[in-house]
Amino acid sequence: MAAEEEGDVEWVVDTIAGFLQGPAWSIPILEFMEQKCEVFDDEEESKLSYTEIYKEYQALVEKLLEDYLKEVGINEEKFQEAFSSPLAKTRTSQAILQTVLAAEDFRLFKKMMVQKNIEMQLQAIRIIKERNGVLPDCLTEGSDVFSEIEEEEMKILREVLRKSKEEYEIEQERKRTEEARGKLKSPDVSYGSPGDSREAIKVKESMEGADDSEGTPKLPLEESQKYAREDLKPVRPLPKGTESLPQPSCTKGKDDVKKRSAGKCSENAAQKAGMKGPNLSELEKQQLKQREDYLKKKRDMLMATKKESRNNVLLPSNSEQKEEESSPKEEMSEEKQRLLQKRKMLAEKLKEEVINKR
Amino acid sequence: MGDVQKHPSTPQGSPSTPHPQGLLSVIQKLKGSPEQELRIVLLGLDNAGKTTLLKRLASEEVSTITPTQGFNIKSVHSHGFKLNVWDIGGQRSIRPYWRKYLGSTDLLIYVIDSADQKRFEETGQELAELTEDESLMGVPLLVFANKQDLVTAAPAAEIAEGLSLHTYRDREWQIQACSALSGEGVQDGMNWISSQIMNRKK
Repeated sequence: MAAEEEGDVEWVVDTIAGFLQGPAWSIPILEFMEQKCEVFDDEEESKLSYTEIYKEYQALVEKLLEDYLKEVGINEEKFQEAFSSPLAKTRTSQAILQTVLAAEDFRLFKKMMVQKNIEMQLQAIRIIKERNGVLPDCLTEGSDVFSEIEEEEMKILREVLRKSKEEYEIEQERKRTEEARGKLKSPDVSYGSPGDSREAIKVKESMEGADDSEGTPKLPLEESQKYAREDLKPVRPLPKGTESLPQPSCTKGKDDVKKRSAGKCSENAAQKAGMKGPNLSELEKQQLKQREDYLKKKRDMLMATKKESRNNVLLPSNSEQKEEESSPKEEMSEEKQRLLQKRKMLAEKLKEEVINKR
Repeated sequence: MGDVQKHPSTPQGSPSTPHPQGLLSVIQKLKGSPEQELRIVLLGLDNAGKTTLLKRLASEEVSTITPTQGFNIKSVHSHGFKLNVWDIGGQRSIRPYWRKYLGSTDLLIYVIDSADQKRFEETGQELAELTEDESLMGVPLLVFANKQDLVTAAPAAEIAEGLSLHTYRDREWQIQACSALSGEGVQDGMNWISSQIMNRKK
């Protein structure tokens, strides 16, 4: 009899734990969070509007649970019994239960929503960067305004490098405390600031190595590839027909001129961009590598968190939602992008705080 | 709250404690903290010192406090209980929201700026309305006569009289003079809260 009851309890607990890891639970919960997280910030004081959202969340959790219990024929009594038993604690993890517990713990709920908001912001920023990381064509086409364009681009590059450096220095400090985290590797590296400075090297190297420039950008960073191409274009001193430049079959004289001026330009570029002369020391390269790895790590942490909350469920609606999220922001002006940069830094700061607190 | 009812007196010491619906209350037990949690709501007019008091209770810095637009929550551990204290902004525009925070409340703390004589009547009205709310039926009430550090502060006894506290017969109540800024008297108030909890849980 006792054994039978125990088996019953076990079955109830396992069934519900399974439900909490499945799409019927996680999809509506995730959708709710994504839709409502926008107003949640990391301030200590809570807004009155949180309370309404919290009540909606409680209602959602209750309804999802109730409907499921009805569906599988577990009555409330059995549920109570099962989840009052010690088994409930050993068979379920806090991670699985988090979304349920948040319905009874406002502060846990707030933490979850703040974190989700930051994740969404970072995602939106990444998408915008991927799409708008390039200058409009009007600025890169036509060699007659070459020097102007070059200067403009150098300005931008310099700015990017400066910001990237600042960010790096800030992040480097935090890194130490974060060392133990996130060991996963993913090819999906997102934020390109380090790539930008790497690009300066790439440009230089490829220029020195003359004509294989078009073949070099093998970086996974889409946007840095774009930067590379932008850098290359104005650097070519010859008007018209320069499309075929990278081929070594060009006429000799021209080729030489091209090489020389190209080399010069890129050297210039590197210097202007705040690099220390034409040659990067091993140490600097190592630092750049570190930065790249660090950003990779951060990205992975984000992905891991998402995965966890998604519980291995494929969500076709999900990516669509992301697109929607970002689409209104697509046509952003340069100025807004700068604003965005600020926001990004802030968001990352918040993100670290929130995630580290967990 | 259209028609206000006078509730018949409930026996003292056994306040009603509404609880969240079935499923969620079960979930609550899975949180894994062995301490029993109690919900305390901290109310009062704007500038009464609610947030300062909250921070004082949580042993936090009280020097940089700005008017609360929303609400704050902090946990205070006392006698094996975890007291979750909700401090909700007291500005007139926010007061209509107070009601939303009253459910499942185990104890009400009401804070008064003892030096703000001009608003004694206003604060008395707010308190009277609160105590008529169904969610707070029989819930013990602690009134902090705050800002006793100011020379113009009225003594607690005078405030009690002004509030007609003696007419509150459907609940346990206490008035405590204090200064949230200096901390004086705050612990005495907490001791009363503890005694209420202990009584109730026996």
